[in-house]
Formats: sequence, structure tokens, C-alpha cells
Amino acid sequence: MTEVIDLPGVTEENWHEVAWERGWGDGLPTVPPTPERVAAALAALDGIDLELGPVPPSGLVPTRESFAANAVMAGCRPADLPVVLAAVRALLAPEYNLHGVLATTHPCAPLVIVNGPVRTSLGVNSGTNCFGQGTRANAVIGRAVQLLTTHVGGARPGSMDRSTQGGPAKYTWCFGENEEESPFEPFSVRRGFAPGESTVTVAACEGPHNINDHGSTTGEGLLMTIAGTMAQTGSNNLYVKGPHFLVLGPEHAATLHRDGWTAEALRERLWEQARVPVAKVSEENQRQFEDWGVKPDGEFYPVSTGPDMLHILVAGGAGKHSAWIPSFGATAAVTRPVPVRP
Amino acid sequence: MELEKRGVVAPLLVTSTFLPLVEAQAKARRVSPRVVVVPHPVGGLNEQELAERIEVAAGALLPLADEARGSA
Amino acid sequence: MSTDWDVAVVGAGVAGLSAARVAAGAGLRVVAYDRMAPGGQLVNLTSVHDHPAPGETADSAGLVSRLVAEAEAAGVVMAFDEVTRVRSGTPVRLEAGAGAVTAQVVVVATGLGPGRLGLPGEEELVGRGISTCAGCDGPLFRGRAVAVVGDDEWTAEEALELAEVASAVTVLVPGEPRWDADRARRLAAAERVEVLPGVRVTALRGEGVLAAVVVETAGGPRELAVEGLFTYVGRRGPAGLVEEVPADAAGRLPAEGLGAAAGTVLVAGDARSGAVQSVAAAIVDGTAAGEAAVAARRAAAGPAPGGSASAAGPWLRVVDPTYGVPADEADGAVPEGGGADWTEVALFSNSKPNATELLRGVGDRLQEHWGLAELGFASKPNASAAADKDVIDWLAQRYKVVLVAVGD
Repeated sequence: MTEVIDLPGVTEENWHEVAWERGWGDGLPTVPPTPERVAAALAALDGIDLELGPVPPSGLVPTRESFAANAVMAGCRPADLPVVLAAVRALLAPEYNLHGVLATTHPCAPLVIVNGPVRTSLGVNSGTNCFGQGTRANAVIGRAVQLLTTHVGGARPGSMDRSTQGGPAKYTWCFGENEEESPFEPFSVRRGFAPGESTVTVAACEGPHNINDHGSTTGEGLLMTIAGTMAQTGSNNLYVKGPHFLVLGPEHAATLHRDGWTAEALRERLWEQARVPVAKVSEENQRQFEDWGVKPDGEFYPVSTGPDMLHILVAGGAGKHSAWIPSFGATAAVTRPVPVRP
Repeated sequence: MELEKRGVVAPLLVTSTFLPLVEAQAKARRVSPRVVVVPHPVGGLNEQELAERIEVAAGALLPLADEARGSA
Repeated sequence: MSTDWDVAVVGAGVAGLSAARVAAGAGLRVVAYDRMAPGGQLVNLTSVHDHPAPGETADSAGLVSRLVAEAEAAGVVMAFDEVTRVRSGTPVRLEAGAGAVTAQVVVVATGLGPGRLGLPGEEELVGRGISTCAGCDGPLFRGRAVAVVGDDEWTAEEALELAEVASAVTVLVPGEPRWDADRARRLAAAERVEVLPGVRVTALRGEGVLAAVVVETAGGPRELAVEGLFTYVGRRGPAGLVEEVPADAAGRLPAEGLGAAAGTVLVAGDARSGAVQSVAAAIVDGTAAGEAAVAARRAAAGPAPGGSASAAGPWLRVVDPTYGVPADEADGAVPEGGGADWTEVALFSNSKPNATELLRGVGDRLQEHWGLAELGFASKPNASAAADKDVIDWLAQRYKVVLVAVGD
């Protein structure tokens, strides 16, 4: 199998049809990964080893060229590649459980969170509409990660990717933390990285569940709404457990901070407060939880296994909305530094 | 070839006719087998001819086996 | 392995490998299937006559090695699996042992099946006297009488090869010989060869193994006491392999197979109606099929922008986004040594005639050389079946060195 392919009768104009016929891409048009574009993209990784292991389920290790080809197809600029690389390195950490993530019926997607100065240099949106459309860096970085696992890993929807319904986040799911408007230390710093160091954190998550609270003017009030949103009966976090994320809008974060809440205190409090009454879970489902070794804590099921499983950060713009992001469960939040050229 | 993948030294005594098959399968499985080629055919030989084949094969095998053991 | 190909070639003989090489060389993704070994008919020949030029001889194993190496260098992926059915459609669907795959173009290059006379009891005697490969089975008939049935150049060469080992070789020609004057002269000069034209084999005799054949001659029926019968008539093409494609009387398929409307299926080599059975013809035929496959893919890609014809149309070169290398290759790791000690040595036989004797002989030499107390032994009952997984597990866990017999 050669790495470079000559496609007869193909031009930039009909490329998409041909690529799609070959099973390449995610349904949206892709950029043809010509050797010239791939070489230009790889210039951004000069002196940086990929350090990538095999991608499940195929077990193939991407080469520099095939790695860059996926970034090019996703629409990445060369400068985006180090962030994509950090994300893929994190995704291949054993604790992330990529094989399970790709093969599950759960609708999880690779969530990619960017911290540090690289957000500014690449224009990663951490403010208004940061989960949504309209920002190139967010769109292409998340998409490149997904294309790579689909192409090199071979986890195509319907064959290896067995997601019952999937989710729109599977197209692309990347945003930056709004460190500038966060009252807390940056998420990456709380995870042990140096201030000013750019990092990428990944976890296999659902799309964001909105937490709308326009009425509460105190931290206590907001916590009631947040805990209520997190305490839902249909999430994997109730019995598969695993990491989950609370992404506070800057306005909610400011209110909580004003009332004395630190990120650490919020974790502890929500572990206690965000619980599902046993009576809200069907008896059949209670038995299924028990089969998984999960028993209620008194009259309640907690969300995940402890306060440390809840990751708190700040993103978004003006407005009274936050988001809870449940996870696949059998995964971990993995953070890797964005590699810097020597 | 499966054996070599699992860490066993498994020299293949291959008749010359089957060498292309072995080479192609090795390539498909991405392994580099240790091969001792024996002139084809082996079936239907008399004792004297068989002894000659054994002599040829042993001549190639013994150094190969020594080398495998020595480098372990 | 991918399950979606630009071109799938069924049969990795001379024609199939040639077609695959040409298509892969043009940048198409090509898989070449063979149920056993690449090489097709060449596997049954010790040497190839009239190749590379008339009157010259080539070593068939070397020729197969070269064809395989060239195809793989062009990017052809070899798959050892049997394609049992080709279904029309766009893409064309191929059913194989390991599951179904699809391809935009299929080249059927299966060649012909073994020669058969169509007589009662024939199948039971295959491998018990009846053979189609002098190079493989000839030595089994050392000092014994054999017969050869056929009328072509190949029949003549096989008869000459058998004359070197057998006590007598009777060539039974159904009509008149078609071989050239040179071969006729060599056959006439061979002491142990007798050519009988205008004879038909009507019955086979023997309990469990072949003992004699009954032939109808101009002078009436005659029984020939032979222990070996090499048949080169009645070879059939892959009739029924391709859905909706009718075969000729010999089971061979028309060159064009299926038109583009029903998915492109091409036929090349001996499997094609009217094919000339020679190495040179198979190379030419396969090359043409490879070129036709490329042309079909170009045509299917549609006209280039601006409406210019696509036959000489544009090409786009891209880096394959699905490309990767297997992990063990990527990190260059040598598999860890088996747990067993270097004194644990076993032999693994494929149960072919004399394979065990050869293994024992070579194993004895190693036993003596290393001063081993004993050797382990295992065998697989059938040379063409894959080894039993349990046996492999046992060998892998129990032994450090396993000497394996391959081939016959």
C-alpha cells in the first residue's frame, strides 16, 4: 500500500465525490491532501516527533504524512498541527480508552479543550458561541482529530463505530477555556501544568447540556440549578461513572466566585448535591446498575465516583448559561502539552 | 510464521517451488521468516536422494540455529 | 485490510499478477486474491518452456517470484483467500472466505481447473494415482508405468519430464498431437515414451489407488497397467463464478465479462474464452486487462472540468489519509523470545510425502549438534489447511525452536 496515490480523472473540483466514494471524510467537503499541502503543514512540526502509537481498531501507526493529510483534509492551517498532535497523543493514552470510545453505542465524541497562549495565536474561540459554529480553529482542530481516528483507525460509522444515534459533536468538538474571564486558575494549571504553557485536554464526552439560570443571583441559587441539571437519570455518569465537566459561563462563574466558591469547593459541594433519588430510577435499571457493581449511597445515586471526577472550567461569552458535559464513563480526561518546535 | 511472531525461533524448510508462496505470505503478514530452501521435490525421493536433501538443509540450518541462539 | 478496492483481481497467476501490477502502477488500490499460492499454473511447472523467448526455458519459481515482487512493488495487496462469487453491481461485490469486499473493477484471472476426464471414480483417485503436475508428483512414480492424456505442448513437456523418472510413459492423445516438430522429435527420441494418437480413455481401474486405465483405440479396447495418470484435457474455466455472465462450452468467460452498466468485470488469461495457453499470452492478456481497468476507472471519474475528454484526463496526487504502518514495524521491536529454554526443540510436519523424513533427518543433525536429549514432534493432517490453533499455541508455549516443513 503506497502512501501517495494518483487518482485518475480527479480534480480539485470533483475531489469530494471521489473522496467520499473511497470512504474518506465525514460527509462535509474536505480539502484534497496533496503532497504539497501535506509538506507545508508538516513544516509546522519540524523537529517534533509524532510520538504516536497504534490507532485502534486497525492498530496502524500514522506516519507524519498521513497524520498531516488528515489535518489538511479537515481544513487545518499548518499552525494548527501541534494542537492536533497534542490532542491525538492524549487520545492514544491507554486511560482514554480509544478502542472502547470508538466502538461504543454511546454518542460520545472526542472533546478537545485548549488552554494557554496557543488559543490566542490560533484564534481558538473560548468566548461567545465557543461550542458552536463560526470559528475556524475550533472547527478544524476537532474535525482533524475525528478524521484521523476514522481514517487511520478505520472506525467508520456503521462498521466499527457502533454509536446508536451518534451526536453532532462527532463532527468536531473543540473549544478554549476563557482564562481571561475566569475567576479561577486556568484549568491546565490546576492539572499541574505551568502557567503560560499551552495544553490540550481530551475526554470522550456527549455534547454540552445547557444550564440556564437567569433568575438566581447567588451562588447557592446557581448551585441548585447546576446540581439539578447534573442529577439526571439517563447519563452514563450515573453507573459507568468516569469524568464529567462543568463549563461555567463567565457570568455564572463570577457570581459563584463573588460568593466565595473556589473550583475545589464547587467540586466537593456538587458531589454532595448533584444526586439522583433512587425512586427516580426504574427498578429494572436499578438492577442493571447493580449488575455493574453500582449501589445507591443511601437514598441517592451520586454522579460518578467522587468530587475529583468533576472538572470545572470557564468558557463562553455574555449571558446566564453554563453547561454540563457528561462523559462516556469508561474514559479519562487526559491532558498533554502542545509540542513546541525546538 | 505465526510461531515467529510469538517469539519462537521457527525456521521453515521450504522446497524451492514453494518459496514464492512463503515470500508472498511473509510479506502479507509483515514478517521475515528464517527460511531454509530445499531443492524441489521432496516427495518420491529414494533414500540416497533424501539423504542428500537432508545434508543440504542441515548445512544451512545449523549455522542459522547457532546464530539465533547466539544472539538471544 | 480494506474492504473497498478500485480493482480486485481474482487469481494471482501470470495474467492476474500482470493486470494487478498495471492497475496499481497507475495509482489504483488493488487487491489480488489467490486461494493458495501466487503463480497460478506456474506452481505446477518445474520450468517454463518457450519463455522468455521461443526455444528458451525459464525457472518457473523464479518467474513467479519476480511477478509477485513487481506487483507488490507497484502497491498490490496480496490476499490469500478464495473468492466464491462475483456479483454484478456498482461497485462489484466479491464473496470471499474472510467476508465480502467491493471493487469498482474486477479482473477474473482464475485460469482453468485441473484436467479431468469425466469418468466414474475419477475424483476418488485424484492424489491416489491421478495427478496434473509432473513436477510435483512425478517422483512418486519412480520406476513405475504412467500414462499422460492430452494433445498440447504442455502435455508433451510433462511427458518428457515424467520420462526421466517413470519406467514407461504412454501418451494418450484423443485426436492428433498439436505439439510442435521439436517436441515430437524429442518424444520420439525418448526411450521410455510411447505416443498413441486417436485414443480415448473410457474407464479407470483400481481399488483405492489407480492400477490401470481402459482405452478405446482404433483396434478396439485395450487395458493399460499404469499406476500414474496425468491428465491435461477437460480443464474447465470459472463458469458460474460471475453472476449473469454465461460461460462457453469449456466453462470459460468472455473477455468483456460485464459492461460498465452492471459494474465492470473483465476476464483475462486462460479463464478467457479463446485464450492461448502460454506464459507470454497470459502476460499480454493480463497487461491489457490492467490497462482496461485503469481506463474504466478514468471513465467513471467523469469528464474533466471544462468538458475535456477524460481518457487523457487530469490526475490528482494525494497523500492517503488512511495510511499507517503496523505497530511492530513502526517501533522496530523484535518479538520477545519464547519462554522456553534453548534445549526445547520440536519438529512440525505438514504431512506431505517425505516431509516428516526430511524434518527428522535435519532435526537429528540439530539434536546432535546441540547435544539435545530429545525432540518434540507435531504435524498438521492436511498440507493445504491452516495449522490448528491449539497446536500452534502448544508449540509456542512449550518450545524455543520449531523446525517447520513447507511445500512438497
